Amino acid sequence: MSDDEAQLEIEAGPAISGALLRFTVAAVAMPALLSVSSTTYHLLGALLLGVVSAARPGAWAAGLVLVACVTLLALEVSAYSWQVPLVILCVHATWALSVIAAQVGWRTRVEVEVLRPLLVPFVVVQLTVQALAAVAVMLDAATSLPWVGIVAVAAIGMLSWFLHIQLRARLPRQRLSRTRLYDSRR
Amino acid sequence: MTAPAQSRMPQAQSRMPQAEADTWHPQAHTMAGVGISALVLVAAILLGRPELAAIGAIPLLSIVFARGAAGGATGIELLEAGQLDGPAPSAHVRVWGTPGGWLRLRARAAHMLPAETLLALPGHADPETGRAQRRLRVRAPIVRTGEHRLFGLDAASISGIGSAATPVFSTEPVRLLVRPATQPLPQVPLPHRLDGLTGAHRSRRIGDGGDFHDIHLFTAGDRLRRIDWRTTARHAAPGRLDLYVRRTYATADATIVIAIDSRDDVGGDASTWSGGGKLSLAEATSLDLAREAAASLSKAYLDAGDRVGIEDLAGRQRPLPAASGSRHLERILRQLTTASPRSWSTVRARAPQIPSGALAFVVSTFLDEEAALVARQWHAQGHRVIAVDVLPPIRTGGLTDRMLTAYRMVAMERHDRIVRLRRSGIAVVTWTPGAEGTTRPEIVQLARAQGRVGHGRRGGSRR
Repeated sequence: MSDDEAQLEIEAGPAISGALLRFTVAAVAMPALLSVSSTTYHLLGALLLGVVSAARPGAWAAGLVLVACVTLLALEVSAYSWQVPLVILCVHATWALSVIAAQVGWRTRVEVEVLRPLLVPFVVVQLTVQALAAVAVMLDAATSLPWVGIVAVAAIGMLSWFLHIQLRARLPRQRLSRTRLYDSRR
Repeated sequence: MTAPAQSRMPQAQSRMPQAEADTWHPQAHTMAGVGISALVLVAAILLGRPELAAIGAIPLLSIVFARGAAGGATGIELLEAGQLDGPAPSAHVRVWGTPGGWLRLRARAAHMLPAETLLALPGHADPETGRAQRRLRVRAPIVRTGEHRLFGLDAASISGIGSAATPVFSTEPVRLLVRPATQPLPQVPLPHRLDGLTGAHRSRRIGDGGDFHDIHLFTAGDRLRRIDWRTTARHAAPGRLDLYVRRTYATADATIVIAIDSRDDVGGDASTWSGGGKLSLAEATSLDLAREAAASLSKAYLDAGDRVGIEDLAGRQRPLPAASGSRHLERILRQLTTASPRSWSTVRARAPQIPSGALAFVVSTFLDEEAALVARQWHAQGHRVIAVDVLPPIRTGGLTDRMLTAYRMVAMERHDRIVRLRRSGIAVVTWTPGAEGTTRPEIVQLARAQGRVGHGRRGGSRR
């Protein structure tokens, strides 16, 4: 981009740059790994994760969920550990910002009004998953009681069913019927 | 640049562009999130690690609690475009889509950097359409005038948390004629001879007017109301009564011809002269300055009631005969806006014919001999000629040695040409890019000098 090249302007509300949003994604993603371990390898891994999250936020929004779970398993982090709520917070914040960052380029402006309505759903989801984590701690403490495990499995099953119904209502159907396909081709 | 010739000039389009989409597709990263969530939930159950289920549920819960469900029609429409509130073109755009959803809007134009913004649509739907609507303004901060293709739009709607999106839908850029701005000219020079029996300027003739000429004996044809009774009484003698009348200069108007040299359109960067580089839209070229100079002069003279005509030295457009009035200013602005260089130009055998006694402005870069030749021919015919040099300040930074040598030769020839014009009695003024409200001291100085030298004989200057 040369300095003397004119640029079009879209007059919208207050906005931040897409680059700032992506750097924020990187900054939020890195503590998800750094909180559970601070060895050199993990530091490098966290940096790599931050760079990848900023460069490809869409692809890595879901990837971070998997990475966080594998890290917790590999390092055998206890459910009692203080790191678990922090990892949940970082993963959630990264997901929430990544879905926006995935829509925009480095030079795209993002209206603040796009981010503001996400705050309440973020708090609701965050409280829900932190509560789930708290239940996990209680379950870990009550492993001797078999009915608690059954209740947990049943609860997760009900949650999955609820989510399935909600997702069907919110996501568009990809497949078109034969009639609609025929109409669209005409 | 200053205010445009008219403050609000939306340009009517036969059909303003509009684009719509109503097919939605799940986003790949969202589907990946759902899949990984399900995988982690199953793994959490199998491994007996419920805290992993809490992490795995994040993508699913985020989608469930998001605002703005996917579905329905979404679109963009260009409502109006033009010089709506200033010299820079702008456009009003209407967007609509899912309440609470997002819309990625990208504005593009040839030779300009695009702008892209992720917009939030209102959370409430319009009662009539059932869609969330929003109006925006898109600006093209260019200083160039003439014909441009601006405000092409690309858009895609996205549901609340980015779970689904429409394909990109686009509108083509619209053709806009960006008119030159005008700058105030408090004083402008006048031709040697004024025309007509009425007007805004004092002529050399005696007649109806305001400026005093002399006291003269009453002769046949003098109007009775012109009798100066005080002088008559002073000169009265017993037995003799001579009537004296007070004579004034008649008023007249001026005819101005502005010859614009649209064969050249060169920018300040000399490396673009050979056609190797593109001209920036953020910098005025010689043709932009020529349009601005011609528009400013035309407005100043037409505001005074004079008649102004336009000649295009490129010979591409038909000349605009001298006339007066606000409608004529509109015609002049349109003629100036559509003047543009062509790969070929008419070689003139002689200068165009202009009304006798007209003041001629030759607005050119004087990079070749033709405009100077026309100026000299008009001057030889007895017209007052003012050459307006519109070559912008030149940068030679990006030139190679050979190009620099070539540029220096062209610059020297141009300098000699301008010196010859001055020696032959043609005034040369420079029209440089100026900020808003820049008065042109060289033009004013010419007008004042004429007022001092030619007072009474040449009609003076218009103030």
